[in-house]
Amino acid sequence: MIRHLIRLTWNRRRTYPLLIAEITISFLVVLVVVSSAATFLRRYRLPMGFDPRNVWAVTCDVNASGFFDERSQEEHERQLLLLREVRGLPEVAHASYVFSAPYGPHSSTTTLDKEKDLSVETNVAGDDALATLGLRLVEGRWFEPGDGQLNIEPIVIDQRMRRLVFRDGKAVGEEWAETNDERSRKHLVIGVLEAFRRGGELKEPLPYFFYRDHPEKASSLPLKTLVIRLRPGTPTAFEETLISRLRALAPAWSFTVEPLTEARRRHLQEMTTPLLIGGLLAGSLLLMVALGLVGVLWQTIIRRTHEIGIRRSLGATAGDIQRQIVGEVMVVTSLGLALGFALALQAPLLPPVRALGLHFYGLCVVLAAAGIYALNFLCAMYPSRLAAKVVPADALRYE
Amino acid sequence: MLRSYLLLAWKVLRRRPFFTATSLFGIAFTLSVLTVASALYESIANPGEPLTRAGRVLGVYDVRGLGPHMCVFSSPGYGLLDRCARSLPGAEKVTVFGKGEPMTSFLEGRKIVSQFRRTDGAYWELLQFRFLEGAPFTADDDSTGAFVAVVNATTRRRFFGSEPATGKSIVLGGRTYRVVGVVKDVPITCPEGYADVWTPIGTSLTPDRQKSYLGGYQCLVLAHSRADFANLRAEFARRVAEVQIPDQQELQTLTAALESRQAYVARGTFNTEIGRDMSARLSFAVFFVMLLFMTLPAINLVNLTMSRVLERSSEIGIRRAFGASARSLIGQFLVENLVLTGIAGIAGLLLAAVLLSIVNRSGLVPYAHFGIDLRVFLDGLALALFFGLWSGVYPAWRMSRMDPIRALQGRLS
Repeated sequence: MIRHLIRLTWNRRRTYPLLIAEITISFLVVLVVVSSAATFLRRYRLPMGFDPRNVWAVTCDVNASGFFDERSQEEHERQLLLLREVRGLPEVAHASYVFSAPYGPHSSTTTLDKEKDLSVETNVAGDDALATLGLRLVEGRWFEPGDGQLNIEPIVIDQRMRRLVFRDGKAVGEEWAETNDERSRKHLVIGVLEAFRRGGELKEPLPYFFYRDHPEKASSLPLKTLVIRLRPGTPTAFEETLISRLRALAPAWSFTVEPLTEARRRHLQEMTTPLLIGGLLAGSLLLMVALGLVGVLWQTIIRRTHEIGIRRSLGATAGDIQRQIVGEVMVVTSLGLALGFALALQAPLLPPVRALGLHFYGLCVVLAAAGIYALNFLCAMYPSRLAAKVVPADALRYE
Repeated sequence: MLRSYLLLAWKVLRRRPFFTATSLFGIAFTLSVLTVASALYESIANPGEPLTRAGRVLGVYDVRGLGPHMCVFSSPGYGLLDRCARSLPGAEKVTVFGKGEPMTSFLEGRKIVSQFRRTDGAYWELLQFRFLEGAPFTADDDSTGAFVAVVNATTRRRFFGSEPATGKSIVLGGRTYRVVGVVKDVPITCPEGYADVWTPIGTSLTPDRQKSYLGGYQCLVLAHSRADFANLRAEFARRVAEVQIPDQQELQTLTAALESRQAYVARGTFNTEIGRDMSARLSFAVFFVMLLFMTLPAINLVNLTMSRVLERSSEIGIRRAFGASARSLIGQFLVENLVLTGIAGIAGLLLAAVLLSIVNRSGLVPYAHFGIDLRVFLDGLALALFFGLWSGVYPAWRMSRMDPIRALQGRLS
């Protein structure tokens, strides 16, 4: 049966190249859609490592003074004053400065391995950040007030960085040297977090570590974001009170408040809008291909009425005819997909696909192929039913 | 002759509504997507008002600082721009302005977040805003640090309802400003002009902003003509290289360049270093992607036209038997295809207009007013004709090679 179908298709090969090209391209379109949807779904399901509920991020615009300008002692002391004031408010459970807030625009990275082009995202946070952000410690401890006396810089890493640097060995209590160009600085790992996906649910998770914000001295990175965990049930009107209290202490600075849940919503919207548009475009392209396929098949049936009539009068059932038409479409689809596979095999060389993992990519290829088979099967159904309805006597009289 | 072709085309298209509808859908959809994309691209590359003289404008958008153990990428600071760009010889106008930041106000318990931008006086001369009332603030307001503000129409509505705003007070971030002018909303696709509220740089209370080299500011330079670009760039680069950085421990060298808008957009797309002009490559990439996007519907169209042609083989056979030349047959099919794409082209443009108005209303792009201007419309029409010709050539060629005798018998290929 299959050999017969293949021979039939081969005999009509001159009518098919455009159809095959169409199937190949639509397969590639579906593959792109499936693999990006799967990537984002996988990212969405990984643990975030922090709890955005009841947390507000207050951006203190310390007068638009740039990065690495001479940071005055006065500015630093005023920041500490603000922190004390915020902690004193009855609505506030915990508060801490961080360099980059979850979902925020600023980030800083450092190189982990120059040859492998591995980088790790870093952040600076105070002793209270563990409770403020609801971080989950897996091993060791978070920063403590006594850490300023250590003669080595303490850091808290996440599990991804632990895996990259220490493999399966011990991490807490070990030293790790941060190497940047010629200089190398030693750090002491004091704890391991489950994760900290600062970029948000749909961003690629990066290995991560935290420096401590030492209240004794101004940090070289400006800590402009104050994260605050509110007691549950605090009304949103508290924002006005909070801002006016802060402004009273630092009249020259400006403050912007954004609840992390709001930032999360914004992040999800920003990331899903292009996906949605891409999905809609791909969907319309496929619809177009499907309609075109139905049209071409329909035409074929009308032209082959004669042939079908002969087969019917020689005893083929309506089901046989239907199977033949659908079978032919499946053979053509397979040809198109074979070409598509050949192209898809080149893709693992591209960096985004390599990041996806070969296993995962393979699954996406299979899913996309299944989708194209299903689509073409559906497209073949209606024309094949038309073909099956051909009345042998009419068809033979046609000539 | 043409009239009978057109009539024939119309009859043929109506005979097979399914094919016609499928082809129409394919072309209209593709064209509308391409038109929307080109409208978006156009609004970013040539934003129009207030940046009406974009062809003569260069800007400093980013700075890269390199130190012994860090590399910073950020917007330039006020001090750097003031020193290196402000008095460039040969420039018609230079403006230095803040990148903008959100500013919170509370009005009767309501929270209003405005996009807030600090600018100098020249900003209002280089960029040509349309004032609905009042006038811009001046360079004097900037140097004296007067607490005055220009607001956009949306901010006027938020704070004052339908009343005029000039002369009234507005409280932003705890400080009170007197409104001196109201301008039309500027969409975010023109980032240099987008804001809700503009105030003089002098109102910022930083005493030592002259010292800041990184962060928060931007600048635009208007040249007398494009021929001056090279001199301006060279002079700016020389001045940046001479800058003495106070904090040598952290950063040692700064890189910044005067760039055209297109070069800036292209640099963001390809992620290359500052000062490299990749705009030609961007145009090529855009063209390539558009071509790729058109391939699928074009193949589809060729397929459908093919079936249509083959279906009419006996008609073609008769016409050839009566002496019609291959040329006139090809002409007939091309006209049919062009009629089809013409109708689809118009439908596509209408669809694009609907899509753009949905985008405008959705609020996804603040203050967007994307529209199909004449240029985009003509581009779309040219695209539709190209499409029609392209997808008609192969079927017409196949058809003209048909043997009239076999075609008459209704047998194909």
